[in-house]
Amino acid sequence: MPRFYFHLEMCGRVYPDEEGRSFPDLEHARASAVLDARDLMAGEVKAGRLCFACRIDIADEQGAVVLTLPFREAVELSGLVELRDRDAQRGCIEFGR
Amino acid sequence: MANPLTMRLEQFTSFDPDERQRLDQLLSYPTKTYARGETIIAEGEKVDNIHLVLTGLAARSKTLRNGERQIMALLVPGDLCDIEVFVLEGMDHDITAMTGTTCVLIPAKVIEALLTESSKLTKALWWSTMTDSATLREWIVDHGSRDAREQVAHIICELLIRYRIVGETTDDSFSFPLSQEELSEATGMTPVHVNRMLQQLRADGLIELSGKVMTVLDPKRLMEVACFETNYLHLIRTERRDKEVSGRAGDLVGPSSHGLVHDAVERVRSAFGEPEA
Repeated sequence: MPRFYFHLEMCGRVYPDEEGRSFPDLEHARASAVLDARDLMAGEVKAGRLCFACRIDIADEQGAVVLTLPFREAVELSGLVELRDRDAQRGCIEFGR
Repeated sequence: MANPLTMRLEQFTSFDPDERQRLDQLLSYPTKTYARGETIIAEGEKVDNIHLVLTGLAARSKTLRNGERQIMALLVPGDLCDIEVFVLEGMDHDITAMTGTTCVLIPAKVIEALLTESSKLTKALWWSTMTDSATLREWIVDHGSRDAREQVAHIICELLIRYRIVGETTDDSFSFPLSQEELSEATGMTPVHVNRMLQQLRADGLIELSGKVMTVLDPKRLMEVACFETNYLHLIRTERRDKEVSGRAGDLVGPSSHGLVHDAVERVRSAFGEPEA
C-alpha cells in the first residue's frame, strides 16, 4: 500500500508529517484527511473559533503534493444565507426607526 | 536482570529477601516474545498463564465493529496484563504488542495462590490492580475533560514516570514506539491532530521525538501543560521519600506529609553541612 503524508497548514503555521500512513489509494487518504480536518475544527470550535482557510496537503512518497483539502471542504455548511437575511432584516428594522 | 515487577511493587511496600526471592521466582517461568502488532491475548480468550511484561510496550484495546480501535491503557515492563482472568471467564479486551515485547508466562495457579494467601505480596498485587484502575480513571478524565494538548502531554508524562519507576529511562529519554495512528487510538484524536500537538510541544522546547525515542526536555513544564498530578499512580514510598525507591521519580512526584517532613529535615541537614541520614 502506498504511503501518504498529511502536511497541515493551520492559521499560518505548517506542521509537516514525517511519519505518513498507508492507504490503498488517494481516495482513502482523502477520506481520512476529511476526518482529520473535522477533528481539528472541532477542537477549534470548542475553543470558540473556526478558520476555513486552514488546509491539509496530502503528499505522496516522493514528497509531491497530490491533493489539497481545505477545511471548508470537510464540512457541509448551512444556515449562512438565512443568517445573512435575518441580520439584514434586523438591520432594516433598526435603521428604519 | 533487575525484576521490573519488584521495582513496581516496592513503590507500595518494602520487601524482605524472602519476598524478593519469591518475586524473582515468578520470572523463572517461560517467556514469550511478540512482534510489533502481534496479539498477546485476544478478547474472549481464557488464558492459563498470567502475562507479565518484561520488556517492550503493550496496549489494552477494543476493536469496534467498523474496525476502529480504542486503546485504553499502556503496559510497560513490570505490568501484569491479565491478573484478573482466573476470576473472569475470559478477556473482555485485547492485549497487543506495540513494539517487540517479551512477557513471562506465569501459571495462573501460582498467582492465584499468591493472591489468596495473606501476605505483603498479596497486598502489593492488590495495590498494582488498584493503581491500574486508577490509571484507567485518569484516562477517562483525559478523554472527557482535557483538551488535545493536555491529553498528549499527559500520556507522555505518565509514560516518563512509569518508565522511570522501573528504571527504563536514560536522562528522561525512553522508548516511544507509538505511531501517530496509535496515539490517536489512545487519545480519541485523529493522527494529524496528534501530530500537530506533538509538534507544538516540540516547538515549545518541551519534548524531542526522533527515531522512536522520546526525550522530555523539561519534565516540570510538561507536567504543568498536562495538568499532571502524580497521585493517581499511588507511588506511596516515593511520596514518603523512602530512600530505596524515591531516587527514581522523586523529583517529579510531590511528597506526602511524611515526605514533606523528610524533605524539611534533609534541607536543615544540608544547611548545616551534615551528610544525609
